[in-house]
Amino acid sequence: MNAEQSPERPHDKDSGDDFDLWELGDASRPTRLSDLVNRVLDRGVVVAGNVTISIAGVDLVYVGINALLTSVSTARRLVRESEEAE
Amino acid sequence: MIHLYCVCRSADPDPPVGTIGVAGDAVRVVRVGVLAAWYSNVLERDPDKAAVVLHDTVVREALRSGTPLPFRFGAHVEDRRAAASLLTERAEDLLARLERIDGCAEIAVRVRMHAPMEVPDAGSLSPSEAAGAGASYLRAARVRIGAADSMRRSAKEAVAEVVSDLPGIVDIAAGEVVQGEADVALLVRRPALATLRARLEEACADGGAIVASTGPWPPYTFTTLRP
Repeated sequence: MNAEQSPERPHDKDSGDDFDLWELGDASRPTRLSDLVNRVLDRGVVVAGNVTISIAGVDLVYVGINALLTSVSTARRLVRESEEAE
Repeated sequence: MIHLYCVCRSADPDPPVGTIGVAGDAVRVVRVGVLAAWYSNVLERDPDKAAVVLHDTVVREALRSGTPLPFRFGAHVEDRRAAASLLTERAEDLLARLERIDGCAEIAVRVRMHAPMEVPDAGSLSPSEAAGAGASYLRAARVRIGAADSMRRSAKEAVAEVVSDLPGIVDIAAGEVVQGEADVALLVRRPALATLRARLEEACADGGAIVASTGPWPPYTFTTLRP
């Protein structure tokens, strides 16, 4: 697919912002890791209900909103069958 | 399968050379129209802390040159073509989310709740209550949920009290309350970050409700559209 030419967007990088992570408050109670985990694992855009998680070394995939758990290989077979049916 | 990190605007720069993904390969970009997605190979082994940190590191790299819409860790699609399809099918939705967070970053604030409400625990039901446990359990659950909601509102108000006079505060969201502390997220315009940091530093030192803060983060908490 060809990308359309979009108008140049001004970037904020020239604002001088420093995006190195700060950590304020009592140094004896670090919160950086829990803030990271809360965000990366629990927030953010979900891909149409498909999330791959791994339990005991087996990759499992939620297929669709019904949270049907299946293996990656079965998920691939289902996708192929769905495509062939179209 | 490929691992997705974030959606950006197509005009934003490519991932810098040397940006490594969770599987150790280079992070790449797929562009469709005005949208782009950063991706890499999927991590083949069980994810660990290093992989989670690396996911954020990559999204943070996108934050340096634009405003990324972060994917949750574990957002995988079949291949680059599937990623392009995703950008096409969800273009309107993704663009609306990008508009909401454009030019912003997220700040995390921890608020100590001074007066947590005492709420009945489902395990503390009397025998007679347990006999009709269904309705009693639901009543207790409703009270707990109400109490949690009340604490989240209080935490949000406590933070708003400290920062609402500052320009550049776009939104405040209260998260979970754990062990007497609430996690509040601020969506902040980038030019306001330095001033906000100074204000939060004072607040943390004051001994008031605000006890800690980290940031800037990519705007994970603000990736959904309000109903």
